[in-house]
Amino acid sequence: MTTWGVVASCWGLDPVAVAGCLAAAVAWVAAGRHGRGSARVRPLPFALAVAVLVLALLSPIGQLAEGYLFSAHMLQHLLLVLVVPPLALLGLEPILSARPNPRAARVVLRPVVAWGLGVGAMWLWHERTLCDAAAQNALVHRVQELSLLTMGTAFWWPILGPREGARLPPLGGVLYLFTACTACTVLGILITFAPVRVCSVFAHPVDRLGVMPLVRDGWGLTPERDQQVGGLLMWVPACLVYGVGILAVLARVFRDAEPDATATGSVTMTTTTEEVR
Amino acid sequence: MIAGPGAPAFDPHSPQARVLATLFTQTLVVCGVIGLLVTALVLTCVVRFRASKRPAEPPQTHGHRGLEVTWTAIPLAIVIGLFALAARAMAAADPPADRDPDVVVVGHQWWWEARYASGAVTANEIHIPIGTPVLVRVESADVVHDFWVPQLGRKVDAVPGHPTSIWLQADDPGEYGGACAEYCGAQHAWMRTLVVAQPAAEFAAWEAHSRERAPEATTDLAAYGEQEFRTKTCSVCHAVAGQNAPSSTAPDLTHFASRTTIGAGVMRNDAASLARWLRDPQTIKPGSHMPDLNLTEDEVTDLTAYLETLR
Amino acid sequence: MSTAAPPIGHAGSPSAPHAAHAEHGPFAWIATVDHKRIGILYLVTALFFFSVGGIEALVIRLQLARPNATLVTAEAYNQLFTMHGTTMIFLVVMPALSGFANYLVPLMIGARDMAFPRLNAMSYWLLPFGGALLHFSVMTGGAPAGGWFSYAPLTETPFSSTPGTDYWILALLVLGIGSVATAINLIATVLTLRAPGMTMGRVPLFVWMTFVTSILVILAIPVLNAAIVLLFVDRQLDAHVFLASGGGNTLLWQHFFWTFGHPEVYILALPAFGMISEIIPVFSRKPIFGRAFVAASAVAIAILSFGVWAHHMFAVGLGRAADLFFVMGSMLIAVPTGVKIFNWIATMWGGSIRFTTAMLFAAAFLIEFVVGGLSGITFAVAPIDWQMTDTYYVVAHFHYVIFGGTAFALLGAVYYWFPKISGRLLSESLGKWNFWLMVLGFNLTFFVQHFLGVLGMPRRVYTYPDLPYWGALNMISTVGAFLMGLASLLLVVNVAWSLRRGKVAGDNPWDAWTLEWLTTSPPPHDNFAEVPAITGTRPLYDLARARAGAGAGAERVLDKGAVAVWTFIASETGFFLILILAYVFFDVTGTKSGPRAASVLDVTKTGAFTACLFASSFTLWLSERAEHRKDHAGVARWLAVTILLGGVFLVGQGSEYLGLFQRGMGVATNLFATTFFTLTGFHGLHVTVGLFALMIVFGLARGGDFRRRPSSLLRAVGLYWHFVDVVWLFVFSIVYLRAHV
Repeated sequence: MTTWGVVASCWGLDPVAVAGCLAAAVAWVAAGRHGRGSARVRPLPFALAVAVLVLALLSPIGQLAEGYLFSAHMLQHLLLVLVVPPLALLGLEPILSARPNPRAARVVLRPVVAWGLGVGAMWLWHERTLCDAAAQNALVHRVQELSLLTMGTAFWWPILGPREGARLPPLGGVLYLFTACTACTVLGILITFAPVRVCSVFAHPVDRLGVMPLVRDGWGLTPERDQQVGGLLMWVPACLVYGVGILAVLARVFRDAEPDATATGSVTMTTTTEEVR
Repeated sequence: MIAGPGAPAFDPHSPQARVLATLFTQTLVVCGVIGLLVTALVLTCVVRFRASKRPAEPPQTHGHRGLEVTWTAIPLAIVIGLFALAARAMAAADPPADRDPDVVVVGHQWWWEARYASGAVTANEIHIPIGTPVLVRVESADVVHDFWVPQLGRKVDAVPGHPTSIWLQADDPGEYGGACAEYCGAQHAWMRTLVVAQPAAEFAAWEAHSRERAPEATTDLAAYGEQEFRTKTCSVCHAVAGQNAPSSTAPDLTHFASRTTIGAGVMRNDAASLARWLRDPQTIKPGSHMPDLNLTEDEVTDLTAYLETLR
Repeated sequence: MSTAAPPIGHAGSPSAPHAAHAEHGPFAWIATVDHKRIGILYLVTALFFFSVGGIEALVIRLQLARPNATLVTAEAYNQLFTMHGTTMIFLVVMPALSGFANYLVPLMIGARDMAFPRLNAMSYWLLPFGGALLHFSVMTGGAPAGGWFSYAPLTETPFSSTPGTDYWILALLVLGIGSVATAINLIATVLTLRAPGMTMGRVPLFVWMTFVTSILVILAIPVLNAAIVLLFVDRQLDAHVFLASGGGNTLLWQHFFWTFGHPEVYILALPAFGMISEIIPVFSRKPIFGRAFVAASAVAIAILSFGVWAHHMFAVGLGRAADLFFVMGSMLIAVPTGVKIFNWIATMWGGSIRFTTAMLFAAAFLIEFVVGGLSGITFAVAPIDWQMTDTYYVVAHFHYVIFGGTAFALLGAVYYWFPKISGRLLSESLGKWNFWLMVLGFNLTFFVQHFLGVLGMPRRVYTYPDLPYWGALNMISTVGAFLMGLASLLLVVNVAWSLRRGKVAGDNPWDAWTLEWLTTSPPPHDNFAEVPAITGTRPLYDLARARAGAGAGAERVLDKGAVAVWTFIASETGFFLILILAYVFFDVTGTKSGPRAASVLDVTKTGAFTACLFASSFTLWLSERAEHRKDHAGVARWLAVTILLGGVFLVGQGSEYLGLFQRGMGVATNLFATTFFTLTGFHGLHVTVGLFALMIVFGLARGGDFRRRPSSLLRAVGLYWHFVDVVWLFVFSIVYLRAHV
């Protein structure tokens, strides 16, 4: 099979993705019916979120993530934690800000817990047993996808949550993202330079789709190099996403610097001692 | 000593080096255009916006979002373009090693040891046949060195405990100068190297000759010299095939007289220089591991005569 | 912790100037804790070492002026370039930037002093001490000769047997501690002492850049510290961390060093960006263009700088995948840097530019820094790096960044802020001479080095063969270097002359807009009589036009003690992270012979001591609770229990060490032993320091002093103690539990 063949034919029907798209459609319709004034879905980030979700779960990335390539798994992992949730939060902000958080979510959305979930999503699923199980067992894989989306959403909530007052203040936000980036970097470095397999399954994939010859010879991805690429994905691009987040947070710092700027919603450095802690 | 025409980095003599030179030129053009643009903008400001021609308080502009996006996006696009070029060049200029090496080159403080798969051994001068890629494994015996022959391709570090490989290839016969490029101690400056590219038949002859033992001494002087080579402890470090055991402590001298330089480039290899070198190596290459043996003039003459027979 | 002057109140509530503070006498400068005097001390020290490093450079250039020269020996030459690099980076540029930061940051944010003036004095005095340590090596058998990045194994005992490298390590440790202390101080100052209304979005860009740089310092320097500590263990205790012959790993040194080394480049560059961002707007009579972009791009650079170190190692052969990722990361840095350049040009565009000497240096900075940046791009393109790295091309590149960039910004800064510091203007006519000679000399010296690199001349060679053009180009470079020397001399002459004869500056000679120009030149001891409410980014501009804006808002002031301890903890985390990484690395890849964690460590026994340590965190928390309730007896009681539990842990660790020693395991036994002892030893050291701090708190609490003083000391020490315990949680899990699971 050629590379284009893979791109054209290796698409699967992932229930999580289908459910996600359905939910997106419902959200869109609901917002359209009840939305008054600003309470509408923001189309661009919302559509991007759905597109990335489809890309991560249905496209060849999703297919190869299931037992074939560690690097594909990592790409999927990162898209689900770092790309889909922030885009979805941005897209849904007008609707979400109109209603209070569900009571159960309040604990989860505390910054410390959310940080733990976001970073935990990175580390937990790369524990060897879990990683192997997710790559081999379809059900575990579904659980993994769902949990990544959930944990990712929780992680981004203190930064991009719908109500501005409830977000972390800028300095806290920068710290929140920077420490998460550091935690990811360490994991990325460990995976990149680890002399042992992180997920042993990917060393000898069961070739359901008949693409292994292409992967090994055409793309030159030996199991070692595959893991290296996976580690590097976690290390460099993941950190770039956190970096973009940091820049977005900083943009708020500079919003009202000038005297002639409009004074509405003045955001100053209201960081408190507790938040720095 | 080895005068390449023009700048070696832009005078490629192998497919690999050509890829590098092309990429370098392309990148320099891109960078040059940007550099000229910035310089022109600054100079325009200098000329057009001098206080003497302007109001005391010019319009107080604070920024422009569109401009910011533009000058973020354009460099980003350029960078992505350069990345694509770099990725392609990396694959072309430095293909992965897929077999056993033809030559193992070992960096020592301050000389290069070269061991061929065929058994030939030499130092500081690496012979290769033209037109065929030769796989070189680069190792280090002590500290970090770097093997670099700019006209033939990339440089690669010689790291202790971390062998690396490069492909060495030359299109045309000739001598290509190189040097150790990673600082490696006192005599880093004189750790030069020479790649001698020869037509296949010539190379085969050289390789066959190199595997032969050293010729017998024919003159009296040389015979004395051969004896002194042993008694003056030269042979403890320097191997001469057929006379003592192989050694990696110092350059193999079996075919010493056929080489171009002494002391990894510090001087030309002729009888007069050799005599000077034997007399006082520590003045010529201070700090090198070749000791001053306090030889008498006679001993120097004998040893020179002997070493000159090692062709 | 020392006490600092409180932030200054709103306009209309003038605080009395502390006239009694005028300091005289010979010890006034030695004993000073005034941020302005300390700033001046930094600058003078930097100038002194600049002359030392500069003379070293001139000798280097003399030796290289002709092929096969013998002015200095190979050995001396190698020491010269090592000392030149180390001096210029750690004893000139960093101190000069610290000097300006010290002098200007409190003034620019409307504060009376730094957050911790006495800590500030200590940071400064570590600088001459570190410099002296480094140079003392000359009397012990030779200066260090390993180059400023001291690649192992060349710097290991078998290849560098004189103590030069040891002094280099000790000096860098001392200087590093000073830099981290300064950085912590600056962060605390910026976060807690800003004048009312000066939000983080409104601080002058020099303050912002210094703030970002300080964060880089507290994160990057500990990595260097951990690496040189390991090198020191290798050298002094015969270990093999970086020696491949003993199972160690040569590349680990390079990874560690450049993890520090690349952010270090931005530690040197970002404050210079800040200076340029102050000078260009003032002399263009326009606000900085795209302020938020200039500020945010610095943060982008800072983040990226930690992810690109391996581009210093493209020649090592790290593998295709790794190379590609680092190519991308390194190239991306060009984007925020380009954003800055274009914003500076846009600031000048449409302005009304006065070409004072300061502005000339800033304009030259733009062009030269771009040259350095563009040659930097060629290094990010890995295949070009394979050709040009470690040649004179790279020497040209980093001098364009550090001299053409940072040093030119510093020179501009000297001309710009000298009137504020001294009360007199520097001579503009001498200044113009100084500028043009420097531009000519600098570009002559370093531009031709690009060609030398392309011609194949490796860097760090004490001499070279007489190849075509090599001699001529080197001669040009040497002539340029002497012109630079002459220009530097002119600066000194200008300073000396202007101090006595220069035109009196007045408060605000440049008609500038930031707060330091509000007060007198030089400023009084307490800086300001009063500070107006800040309403924008250019307080003096707004003041002159009575522009009102979004007010101060409800700002809550951070506790400076907490900020300091948290930044310190961040810094220590980096240090332990490297030691833990080294341990894990050798645990996974190291030799399999000799003692291993599983075979020699008693997890049950250490587990018991660990429980004591964790319990001590709990008892300390109880003590803090008691303090909260004003239960002073409770505070002392729980503190005593904490100290006892901490002591038990130390005794436990001591007995563990003793047991290991008795079984014949020493630091140098194998790499497990080396990394185990280094990691746990440094943790033990931290526990010991924490215990002493707790004892001091305990003494204060017992002595009743505690009832009057705020509880911030207990909170600060408490944070530190909890941190030490958290580190042990990781160490215990990784070293002990992992081995037995």
